[in-house]
Amino acid sequence: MHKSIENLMMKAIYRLTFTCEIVTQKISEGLDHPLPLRERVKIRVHVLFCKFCNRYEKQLLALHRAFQNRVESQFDEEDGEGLSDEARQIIKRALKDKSKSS
Amino acid sequence: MKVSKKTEIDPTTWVDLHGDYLYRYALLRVSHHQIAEDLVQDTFLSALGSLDNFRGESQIRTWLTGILKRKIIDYYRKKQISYSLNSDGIPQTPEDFEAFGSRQGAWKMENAPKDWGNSPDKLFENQQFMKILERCIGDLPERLSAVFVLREMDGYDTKEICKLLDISPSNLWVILHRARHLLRKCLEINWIELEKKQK
Repeated sequence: MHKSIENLMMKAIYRLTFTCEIVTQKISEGLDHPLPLRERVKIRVHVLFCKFCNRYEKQLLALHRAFQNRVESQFDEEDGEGLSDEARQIIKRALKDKSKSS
Repeated sequence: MKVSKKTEIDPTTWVDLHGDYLYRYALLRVSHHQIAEDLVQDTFLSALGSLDNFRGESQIRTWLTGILKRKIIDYYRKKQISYSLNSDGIPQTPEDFEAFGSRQGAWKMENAPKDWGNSPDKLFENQQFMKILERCIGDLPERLSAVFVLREMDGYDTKEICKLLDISPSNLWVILHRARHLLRKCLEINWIELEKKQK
C-alpha cells in the first residue's frame, strides 16, 4: 500500500479507536479486569489494522498464558543458582541452635 | 532422588532438600541475594517453630513454600514500597511512542514490536528464552516486579493484591501494564541479540 494512504488510514484508525499507546494499556488492563464492550470493540478494530499492536497483543497474551501454564516449574528444573555454601552453613547452624533451645 | 516421608519431615535435611528451591523462589520475587537468603532462613526457622502444625496433608516443600510466600508479602509490606505512579522506580512507557505531531501516541518505528513468528507461545517452551525471561523479571524495578509476580506467577487476583499492598485498582493496572511492557521489550531485545550471536 502506498505510504501516504497507509498514513491517512492509520490516522483515521487512531481517531476512531485509540492511539497505540492507549491500546497497549487497554490490552494489559483486559488481562486484569473486564473492559466495557465499547473499548473491546475499539481495541479489536485498532489491532486489525495496526500490525505493531497486533504483535504486541499476541506477545503479551503469550507471556500471560506462559505464566498461567506454570512456567515457574520450568525455572525449577534448570540448573539455576542455589544458596551459597556460606548461607547454607549459616542456616543449618541457626536451625540446629533453634532445635536445641526448643 | 526419592526421599522418605520421615526424612522429609526431619528439619536437619531441609536445607539440602529444599534450600535451593526456596532460595530461587525468593530470588525471583525480591531480586536481592541477601534478602532472598534471609527470607529462606526465616522460613526454615518459622517452620521449625510450627512443625506441630504440619499435618502431612501436603508435601513439606509445599508447606515451606506457603510460609515463604507469607514472608515475602510481609517483606513487601514492611519495606513500604511506594506504589505512587510518579515515584522513582516506576518507569514510564511513553518513550516508545511518538510524543508530538500527527503520529502522537503511535509507536516510534525503532521501538515498535518486532515479529516473534506466528506462534509466540512456542518461544515459552524454549529453555534459553525462559532463562532470558527469568533475567528480565529480575531486572524489573522492585516496585513493578513485586506486583507482577504476585499477579502473574502467584496467581493472586487484583482485588487481593490491592488489599495486600494497599493500592488502588487503577494504580495496580498501570503498574502491571508497565511491568508487562518492560518485560516484553526486555525479552525482545535480549532474544534477538541471542539469535544474532547464534547465527
